[in-house]
Amino acid sequence: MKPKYRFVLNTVFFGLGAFLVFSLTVFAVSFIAFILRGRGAWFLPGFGWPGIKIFIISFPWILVLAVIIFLAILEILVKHFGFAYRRPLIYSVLGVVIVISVVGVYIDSTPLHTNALRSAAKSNLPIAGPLYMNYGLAPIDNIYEGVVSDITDETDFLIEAPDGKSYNIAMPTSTDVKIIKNGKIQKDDRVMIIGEKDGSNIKAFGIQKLEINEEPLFHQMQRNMRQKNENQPSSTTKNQKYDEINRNEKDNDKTNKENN
Amino acid sequence: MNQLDEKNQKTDEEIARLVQSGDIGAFGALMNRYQIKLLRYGHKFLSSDKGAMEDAVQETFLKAYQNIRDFDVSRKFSSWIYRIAHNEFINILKRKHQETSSFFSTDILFPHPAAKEKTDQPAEDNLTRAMIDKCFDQLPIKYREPLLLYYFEQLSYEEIADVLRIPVSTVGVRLKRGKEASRIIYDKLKYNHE
Repeated sequence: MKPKYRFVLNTVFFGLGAFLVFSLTVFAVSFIAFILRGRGAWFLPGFGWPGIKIFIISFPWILVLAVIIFLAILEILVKHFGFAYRRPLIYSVLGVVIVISVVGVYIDSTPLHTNALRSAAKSNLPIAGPLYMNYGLAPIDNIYEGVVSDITDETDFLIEAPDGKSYNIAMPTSTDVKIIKNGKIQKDDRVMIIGEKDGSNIKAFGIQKLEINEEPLFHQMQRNMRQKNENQPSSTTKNQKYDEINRNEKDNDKTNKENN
Repeated sequence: MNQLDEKNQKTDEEIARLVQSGDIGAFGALMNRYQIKLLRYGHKFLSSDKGAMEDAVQETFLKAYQNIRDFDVSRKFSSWIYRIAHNEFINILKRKHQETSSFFSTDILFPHPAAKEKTDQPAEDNLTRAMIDKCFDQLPIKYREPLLLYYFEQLSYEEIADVLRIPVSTVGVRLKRGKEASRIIYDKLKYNHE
């Protein structure tokens, strides 16, 4: 007869395994929500079909696949319990999905991922650092954001992007462009644009006015970096951007220490 | 009243508790109660191989004894030991590359408002039992076990759900469909015979 402690240990390992998979799933779900928000992808479906297309292409599908695998493992673990297998599978699947989604969205609302991204930018985040740098800070093609610096004419205006560059926004005809939140674009408006870039010209398909607090996190980080380092030339490659953010964050730390 | 009579008056769960607390001899009472039942279950399940079936039943008792401390006495002992036996029989089928019920089946996915089988008609139950017995080997594996556990081993829906690890409503669906399938096979056999 096997001693009781073996079954207790078995239950403990089983419980810890389930908790670990649950935590990983919640982390992945909250991280997906965070990077969609941080990169400004939340706004895309509002632009209609062109926006939805970019949204689908830019969606972190590998993370979604990881979540599906984690959910399947969690479901197998949960099925060991009578309360799960005695009821139709759809109930336990829905239960797991709802709990994971609610906890995931709650975690996304906390500063956990923002702080982790900042630590990753300062190379202070082991293991998960590359994940944050590759997903959190990767820009989405065909999305541009900036502050209107000049209205050239009825169909053209200039924006200053977070990286300090100026772009000329061209609206082929006003009916071809979906303008969200009050059509009239004015100087100093913060706007998000989806369109095709050619040099410093962007042919817009959609324009959305943003409130100050709606600026995507990555753009905020770029903007803060530029404001600190006005004289430093802006760069275009992803790695150079990361280096600049990194330098800037380290400078911020140094300044804070000196002030203290 | 001697010790054996005392144990015979206890429930399975009470005897299991005695074994858990160190009364190893009490396990014999459980073996006496389940030996014939498990041999009958195995005989139906593995009708083609009597030797393997007897070995599997022995293995079931061995595993039940080894793991008795894992048994939750607030649950039914019958479900627990039939579950061990089910796993043993399935392992034999797998070793022989014979058909086993698949890990996933669509009937476990959604709820089914299936009515429970009527248990207050013994005459009808006897006829059903005889019909299932005749065509048992030709039934799809996923219907065989619920029919066997319900009509021959007299387990409840909840106990069958615990043995097979499927939803209680799915037990009802499989019993209903299994009965329909046996009726079709039975009629065909009767027709061929005539």
